[in-house]
Amino acid sequence: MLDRHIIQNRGIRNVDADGEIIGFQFRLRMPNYRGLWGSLIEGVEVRLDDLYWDRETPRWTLQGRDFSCAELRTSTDVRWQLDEPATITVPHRGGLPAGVHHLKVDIALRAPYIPAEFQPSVFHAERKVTLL
Amino acid sequence: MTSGHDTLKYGVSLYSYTGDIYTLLTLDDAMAEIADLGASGIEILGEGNISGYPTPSTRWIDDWHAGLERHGLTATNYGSWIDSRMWQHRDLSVDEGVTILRRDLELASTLGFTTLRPKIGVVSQDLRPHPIWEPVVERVLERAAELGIVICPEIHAPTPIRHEVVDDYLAFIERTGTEHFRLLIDTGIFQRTATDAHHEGLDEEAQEAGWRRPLAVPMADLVDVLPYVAFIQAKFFDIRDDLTDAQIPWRDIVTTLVEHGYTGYLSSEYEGDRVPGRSLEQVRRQHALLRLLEKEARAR
Repeated sequence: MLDRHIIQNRGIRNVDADGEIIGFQFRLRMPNYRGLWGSLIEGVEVRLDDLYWDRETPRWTLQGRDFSCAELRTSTDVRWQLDEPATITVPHRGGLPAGVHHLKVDIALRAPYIPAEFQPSVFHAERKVTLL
Repeated sequence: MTSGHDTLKYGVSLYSYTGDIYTLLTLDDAMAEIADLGASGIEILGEGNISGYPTPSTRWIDDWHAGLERHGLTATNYGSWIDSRMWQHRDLSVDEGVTILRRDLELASTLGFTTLRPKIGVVSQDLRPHPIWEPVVERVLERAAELGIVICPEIHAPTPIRHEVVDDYLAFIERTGTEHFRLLIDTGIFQRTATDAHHEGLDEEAQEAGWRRPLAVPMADLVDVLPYVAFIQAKFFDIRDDLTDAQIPWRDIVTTLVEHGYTGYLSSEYEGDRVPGRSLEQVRRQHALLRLLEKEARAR
């Protein structure tokens, strides 16, 4: 099963591409009460310690496939399910130092059955995470 | 426990366990919770509770049926969505809506459900459904009839019963003569006092507009449409230690249902604070309360 917390304890790590650390990753549980088609995901704002990335920047891995925010918005065949975490990759050259970090996320999702004036729905979560 | 004297049927929507399901409890644990209430019905959200939706594995489908059998549960209502604003650059077309609704009907049937609630995207503050709803539903009515499934959009706050949205649904039933389109009532429309329960994802303004403002629909309005009601979601936020609910007038609701011969389901929809494990306790309290009130109503 998944962590009750939206930010999952497992999965936080630096991302290595061809021997170079290009960023870090973590996993999120779907904060909404149903799973969603990828096109209904607006993005995720990320704060880590005193660093900040806007909603458009992080990349998403859903069901084993990698997407930019813009790609997700026009997608037709990928879902973020209740029982499958999303992996978020944040570009950050050199990665993060090992240790405890304060991670905050604001996950923006769209619900077409809620009047457009009140959209997107934004789900906030934060916790301390430990990078090995 | 249910007995031969009960004519209301009791169930639980897995929506109640939002946040707790797949973290603190598995689907099988949730079934065990519901069975332990002496309830018979399990309601699911297709896009929430079917692993691998919309194409669950044969193994998952077999496990679902085995779970129902093991816990003595009946599949009741299947929650589906017609996300009319599926993309930011364009709306869903009627054909796409038909494909989605038909797919959910087939899945619901495979899993043994008898009603299906499509949640339709809205185009206004007072929750008018996107106009594709009518041609989309009309084009699947025949298939719904073949599968023995009643399609029932929900009447949900802030839309009361006396509203054009409901009039349009009733006119659709009249015009088509169908027996496979009815109404689903969410008991949140009967809410009489404000709740401070936090609805995650919504800002203060949205919470005030839609989820806290008590609509206080009178029981007479429920009586008027009751012949068209296929299913009731027993929405609630908080039941206190003395089994009283400050928001939802359960005594009035249960008395009205008993007096007017409703024999369908009351399916718990806990929508209070998402403190870990609270949903499980609250659903038990609601079932204790509803059984007492039904007994009381029948003793009159």
